[in-house]
Amino acid sequence: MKNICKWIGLLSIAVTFILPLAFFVEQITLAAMKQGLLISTLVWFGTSVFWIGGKTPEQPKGDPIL
Amino acid sequence: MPQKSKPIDDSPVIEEFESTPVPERAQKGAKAFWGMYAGEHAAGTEFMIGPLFLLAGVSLQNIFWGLLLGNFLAVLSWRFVCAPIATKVRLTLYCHLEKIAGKQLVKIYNLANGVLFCFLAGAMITVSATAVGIPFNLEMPAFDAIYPNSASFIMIVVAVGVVISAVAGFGYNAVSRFANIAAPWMVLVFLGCGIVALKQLGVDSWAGLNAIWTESISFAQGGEVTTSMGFLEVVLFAWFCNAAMHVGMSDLSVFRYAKKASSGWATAGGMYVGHYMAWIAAALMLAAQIKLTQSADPVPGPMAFNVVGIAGIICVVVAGWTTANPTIYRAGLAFQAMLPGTSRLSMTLLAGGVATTAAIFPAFAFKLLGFVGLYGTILAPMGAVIFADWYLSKRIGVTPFHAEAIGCGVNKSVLFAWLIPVTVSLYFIFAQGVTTWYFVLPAWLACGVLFLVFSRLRGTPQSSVKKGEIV
Repeated sequence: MKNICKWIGLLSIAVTFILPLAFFVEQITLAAMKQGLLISTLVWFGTSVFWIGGKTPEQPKGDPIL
Repeated sequence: MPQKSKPIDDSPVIEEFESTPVPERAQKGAKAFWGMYAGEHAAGTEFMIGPLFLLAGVSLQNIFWGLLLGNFLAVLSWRFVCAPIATKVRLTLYCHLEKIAGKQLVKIYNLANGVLFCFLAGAMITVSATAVGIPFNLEMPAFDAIYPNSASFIMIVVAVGVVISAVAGFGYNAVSRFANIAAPWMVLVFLGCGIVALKQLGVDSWAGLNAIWTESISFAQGGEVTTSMGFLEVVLFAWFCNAAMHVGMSDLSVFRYAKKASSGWATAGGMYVGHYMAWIAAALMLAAQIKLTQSADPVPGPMAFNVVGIAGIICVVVAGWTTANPTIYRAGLAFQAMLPGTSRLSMTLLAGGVATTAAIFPAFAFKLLGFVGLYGTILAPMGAVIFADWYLSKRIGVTPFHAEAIGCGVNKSVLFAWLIPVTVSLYFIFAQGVTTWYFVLPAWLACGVLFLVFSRLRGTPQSSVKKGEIV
């Protein structure tokens, strides 16, 4: 399950990267790109919760930054 | 023994080494820092800063080259000023500073930090509110607005502020995890915003982009093209917008975990993703908005909605929320340190209340460029004290870690070395109207020099200092 979510999540993040480029080279319309971005966003957040950051925070803590 | 602490109410007990040096087993390689900086610098404020360059009339060339150089200088500051000390001493900023300046003075510094954090968080709440308001057809405040433009705007800001403050108070860890999840997606949405905006501008060459950029400035400035920021100002801004973190040594707290000082190069991930790509993308978004809707108001929510739709609204909300949360949380901790006996929750809610009140006034967000310089001018000079104490004090016969050595609460040499340049800078900023980011470097240098001079004049030669002796 975790692995499946990981691959779907990675696919959605790749789509998030590709869609604006596809619009830039006029392969899709603005409306289609916006719709696709929303779907890939929902898929990313829906799947990444299962495989990112479940354990103790790995990152060093510092002050908030701009 | 490393100090075991439970820093966040809903988290398992983890070791944070707040008052002891980070041991070897807890140290991390450079990889951990690349991801962290790249993610954390793609924040809600980037949506504001980029467009403000356009409104300030900065030329496209100065943006591209000025940010390239300024960010490089910032990376060098992290790598060669902050990281070497962090990896040798391995203490947090507050712990390190306490040894030099004394416990009471660190509390005052911490309070200044907390108050400034509140205003920063306020700007982030405003940014999020501009996106939350879109489904409600909220009329956004104009760029020159100081006061809120409607009761609806106030209500949405207050609602966003209450949610953010409550989450910071009760469920900070969940947000911290959510921020990790959102980081790679946010970076790509920022990039997407830039690519789409570029396409909407309809340019196919540098000359074309330059022409439309100049037209956008002209439109925003009512037919004129004047600039308040040249190449030098852009370089200084990019270099010092995080001055409190690098030359100000706030990131000692981060790099104390680094195995080697070379991890300081990882800050390039944050600078060139968040402070280069994201700022330029956000600036292009405003140019596209001007072309498509003839509106020059740099309001992040509508700008992001125009280019990438609902995903853009989500990005603005998430970017503002995930960065406002730790900011309010840290401000709460600073207030709690000043008022022993109060609970962290009540102080976090107080900080959230101050931040929300500030967020009601859009001027704080729209004057972010100036505020960021002010933030650096006030906080960064303390980093010079740490730098001078570490590298130079022994050479001129001054005791390093003076406050710890004599057991004093306020090291007056540090207090006056900090207050004098900051007061002079604030006079020029507020009374003379001089731009804030000119003062960060002079104040930093003056503070370091004054600290050494005062320490030497007050006569605390190394050999004569014994623990408990008050000088």
